[in-house]
Amino acid sequence: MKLKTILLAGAVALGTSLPAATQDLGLNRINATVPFGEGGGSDTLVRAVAPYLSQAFENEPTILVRNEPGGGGIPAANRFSKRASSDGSDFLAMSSSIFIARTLGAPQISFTLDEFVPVFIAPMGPLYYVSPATGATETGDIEGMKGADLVFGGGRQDSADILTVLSFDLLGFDVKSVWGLERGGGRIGFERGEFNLDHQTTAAYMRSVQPLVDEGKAITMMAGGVIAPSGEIVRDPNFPDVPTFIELYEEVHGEPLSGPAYEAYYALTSAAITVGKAIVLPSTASPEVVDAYSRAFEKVIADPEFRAANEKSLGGYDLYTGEDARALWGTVADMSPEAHAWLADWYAEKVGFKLPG
Amino acid sequence: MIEAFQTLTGTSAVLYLMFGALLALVVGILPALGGAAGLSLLIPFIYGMDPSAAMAMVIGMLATVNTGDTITSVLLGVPGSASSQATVLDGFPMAKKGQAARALSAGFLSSVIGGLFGALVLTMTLQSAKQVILWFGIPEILMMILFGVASVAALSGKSLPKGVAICAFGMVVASVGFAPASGEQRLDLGLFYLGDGLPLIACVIGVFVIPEIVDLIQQNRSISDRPSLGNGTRQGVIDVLRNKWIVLRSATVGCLVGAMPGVGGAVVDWIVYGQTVRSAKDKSQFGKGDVRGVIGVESSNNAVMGGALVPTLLFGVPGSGSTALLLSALILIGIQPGPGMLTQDIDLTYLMIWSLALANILGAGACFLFSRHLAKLTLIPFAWIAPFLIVAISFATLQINRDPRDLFLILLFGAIGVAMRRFGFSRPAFLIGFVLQQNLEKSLYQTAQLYSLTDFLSRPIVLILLAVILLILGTSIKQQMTKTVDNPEEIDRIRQTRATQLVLPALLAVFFAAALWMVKDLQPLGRMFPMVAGGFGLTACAVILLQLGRGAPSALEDSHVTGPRYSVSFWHTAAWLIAAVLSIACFGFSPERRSSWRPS
Repeated sequence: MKLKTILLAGAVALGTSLPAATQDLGLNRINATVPFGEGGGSDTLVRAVAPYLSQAFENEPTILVRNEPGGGGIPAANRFSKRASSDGSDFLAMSSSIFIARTLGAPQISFTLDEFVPVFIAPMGPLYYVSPATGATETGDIEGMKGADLVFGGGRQDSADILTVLSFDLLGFDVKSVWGLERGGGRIGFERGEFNLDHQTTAAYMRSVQPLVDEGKAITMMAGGVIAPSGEIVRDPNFPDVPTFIELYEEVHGEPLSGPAYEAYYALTSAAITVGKAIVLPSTASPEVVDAYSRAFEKVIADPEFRAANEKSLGGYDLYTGEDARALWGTVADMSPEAHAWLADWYAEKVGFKLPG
Repeated sequence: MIEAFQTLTGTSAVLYLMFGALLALVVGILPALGGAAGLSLLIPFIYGMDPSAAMAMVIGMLATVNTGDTITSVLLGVPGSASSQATVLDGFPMAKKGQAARALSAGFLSSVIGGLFGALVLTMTLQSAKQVILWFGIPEILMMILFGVASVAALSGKSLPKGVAICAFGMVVASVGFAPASGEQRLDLGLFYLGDGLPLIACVIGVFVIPEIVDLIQQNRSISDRPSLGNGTRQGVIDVLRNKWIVLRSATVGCLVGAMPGVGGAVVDWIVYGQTVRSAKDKSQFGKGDVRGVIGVESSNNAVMGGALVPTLLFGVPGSGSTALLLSALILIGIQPGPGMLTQDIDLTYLMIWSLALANILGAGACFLFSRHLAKLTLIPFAWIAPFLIVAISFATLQINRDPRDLFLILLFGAIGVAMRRFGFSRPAFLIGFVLQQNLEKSLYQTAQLYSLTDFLSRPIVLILLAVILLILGTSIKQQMTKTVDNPEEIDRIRQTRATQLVLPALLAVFFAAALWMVKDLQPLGRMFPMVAGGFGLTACAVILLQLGRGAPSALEDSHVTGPRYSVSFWHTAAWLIAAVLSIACFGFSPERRSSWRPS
C-alpha cells in the first residue's frame, strides 16, 4: 500500500503532474522557488510545508519545488520580484541570508521589501554558548568570563554569524573571529577546543549542544530572543529561563543598548531571526489570493500532524500567517545612515570586512 | 545488529531499499545528476514513513548513485556525477579500445567491494569514531588537503613545470569570487555572474569532455572500433582480483577523506587517482585506458559513503550536499543525529549500515545485468551520438545554476582543454588545483589564525602526514628527474611546431600576471592565496617558456605531431560544436520555456 503511494508520488515528482483544478485559486500547479540548493534550511522548510499546503487548498494543487541556487539567493529573489505571476501560482522561500545582505546594503539586490507579501513566517532564534574554560559557570554569567579571549568560527562575515561577534563585542569582550567554516564546523571546532564561543539555532542546539551542556563541556550563555509582532525583543519561548542579549547588556553596562549600535543590532536581529524563514508572494497578488494563502497556512499551522512532523526542525516557535506575519514583516526596517556608518566602522575595525555601499 | 538485519529484510523496508537503489541508478546514469539531486526527489515522500523504511530508501539511493554513474563515465566519457569525474580518465579510453565491458565490470566490482568495505569500516569505527574525528582538527585537515595537492607531482606527465603551472591555473581560477578570509570579492572583473566563482561541473565538462568529443568527431567512427565487446566482463573481474591492494587502499582513503567534513565528495576521486598513478610501477598507460585507474577511483567513491556517515550521524555535520540532505531526512522522520545514534537509535544506525551493504550489492548486481546491453552504445558511430552528447553536457551544465552563460564557459574551458590535451598539460592536475583550492585556502588561513608554528608542528598526526607528503614529493620528483628521453627523431619533429607550443604557456603567463595585478589592492588575507598560487604559476610558465626556447626535450609535446591523423579537420569540428552549443544557448530558452529557470 505504502509502496504504491511512494511509486505514485515518485511518478509525480518525475514530472507527470495529475491534472486538477482548484476552486480556491483556480490553479492546478503552484511553483515554489527556493533560491538555494537542495538540502539547505529553506529547501527543507519548503519541502516540509509543500504536502500540507497542497492539502490545505481545496483541490490539492501540485506544488513544484524548484531550486535556483547561486549568488547567495539574490539573483533568484531579484528575478522573482520582477517576474512572479500575481495569480498565486508563484511563491518564494526567503531566508535570513538574503535579508542580511539587504540590511547590509548589497548592491546586487534590486528589490524592496514592499514588493513581497509574507504568507508564512517561521522565526528561529539563536542560542549562544561558551566553553567552561572561559571562566563562566552558569547561564548569564558574564561576570565570570570577564577578560576571557573569545574565539569564534563562522561561515561568512556578511551572514547571521556576525551577530555572535557583535553581541559579545558589545558585552565588552575581545572576539577573534575565524571565517570560512562549513555548516556545523564551528561546533565541531568547539568540541575540539579550537573555538570557545559558538551559537546554534534552537533546532540544532537541542540536537547537538544540549548533550555537551549535560556533560559540562558547554555553558549556555544567552539567547538572541525573538521579536514579537509588537516589535519588541522578548525571551525565546523555547528557553524562558535564558536571558536575552538585550537583558545582559543592560546588566553589564547599567543602561540599555541605544543609539546607532542598538539600531544596527535590531536591524540584523530582525533580518536574521524574525523573518529567518519566510514564504512570500509578490505584492502584486490580489487580496483574495493572499487571503486564500493565509487561510491555507492557518490550516497547515493548526494541523497537529504537521507540527508533530516538524517539531524538531522548526523548534517550538509560534508560526505566523495573515496579519501577524505582515506585522512582523514590518519590523524589518532599513538602518538609518548613522547606524549604517556605525556598523561599517565596526565591521572594518573588528572583523576587517568592508561593508558594501 | 542481527535484529536490524531482520527488520530490514523481514519488512517492507527492503522494497523501499530496492526502489531507492533503482532510482539512484537512473539518476547516476544521467550526467551531472548526483546523490543530492536524487535525494531531493525522494525527500518529500518520507514524511510519516516508518523510520526504518525511510532510511532504507534514502541509503539505498545514496549508496547506489556512485555505481550507476560509472556507466556514463565509461561509455560516453561524460561524468555521471561529480564523484566519478576521474573514472572518465581511464574508463573512456578503455571503451574506445573496445574494452567497455571490461572497464564496466571492473568498475562495478570495485564499487561493490569499496561500498562493503565502507560499511565494514563504519561498523568497526562507530564506537571510537567520535574520538578520531576530534583528533582531526583544522591543521590535520590542512595536511590531508596538501596530501592531495602533492599528487600533482605524479600527474604532471613529462614536464613537472607544466603540471605546476596548470595546477596553479586551476587554483587561481577557483579563487575567483568570494574570498573566505577577508570576505572580499576578488578576480570577478566586477561581474556579479562571477561572484560565486566558476561552477565546477562546467569546468570539468569543458576541460575533459569537450576535447574528447572534438577528438571523436574528428575520428569520425564509433567509440569502440571492435565489432564485438568480447568477454571483457570476466577480464574485468580478474583485473580487480589482481589489484586487490589498490582496491583496499583506495577504499581506505575514500573512507578517510569521506569522514572529513567539507572535503569529501568531488575531491576523493582525484586524490585517489593521483595516488593510484603514483604508486604504479608502469605509468605509461594511465589516461590511455589503464584498468587500474578505473578500479582505484571506483573503489573509493563508494567507500566515501561509509566514511561520510560518521560525522553526519555522530555530529550532525554533513560533508557534502547529499549528506546534508540525509541529515534533513533524518530530522524529518524525527531522528536526531548526534551521539544518540549510538545509544537509543543504535538499531536504526545498524539498519542504515545493513542498507548500505545491501544497496551496494543490489546496485552492482543490477548494473552487471544491464551493462552488456548498455555497452553496445559504444558501437554506434560517433557522429550519431555526438548530438545527444552535446545536449547531455548542456543539460548537465544548466542543471547547476540554470544559467545559459555557463554554456559559454564550457566552450571557453573546452578550448583550454583542447590545448592542454595537445601540448601535454595534465588535465587532472588542473582539476586537483581547482577542486582543492577552496578547502586549502580556508584551512591554511584558519590554521594560521588559530595555531602558532610550534603548536602546528607539535601535533603528531600533522607530523606523520608531513613525512608522508615529503616522501611522496621526493620520490615523484626523483622519478621525474631520472626519466629517459624518448627517441630523438620524434623530438626533432615535435620541435618544428615550437612556435605553436609557446602559445598556451605564454597565455597562462599573461593570465597569472593579470591575476597578480588584479589582487594587489585587496586586503592581505584576501590576496595572499591567489598571489602565492599565481606566483608559482608565473614562475613555472617562465621555466616552460625558457625550456621551449632552448628546445629542451622534456618541455616539448604536441599530440598533433605524434598522434594519429584524422580525416575531419579540427576547425571544421570545432565550428560545428560551437554552433551547436551556441544554438542551445540562443534558442533553447524560448520565451515560454524560460519559465523553467526564471519564474514567469
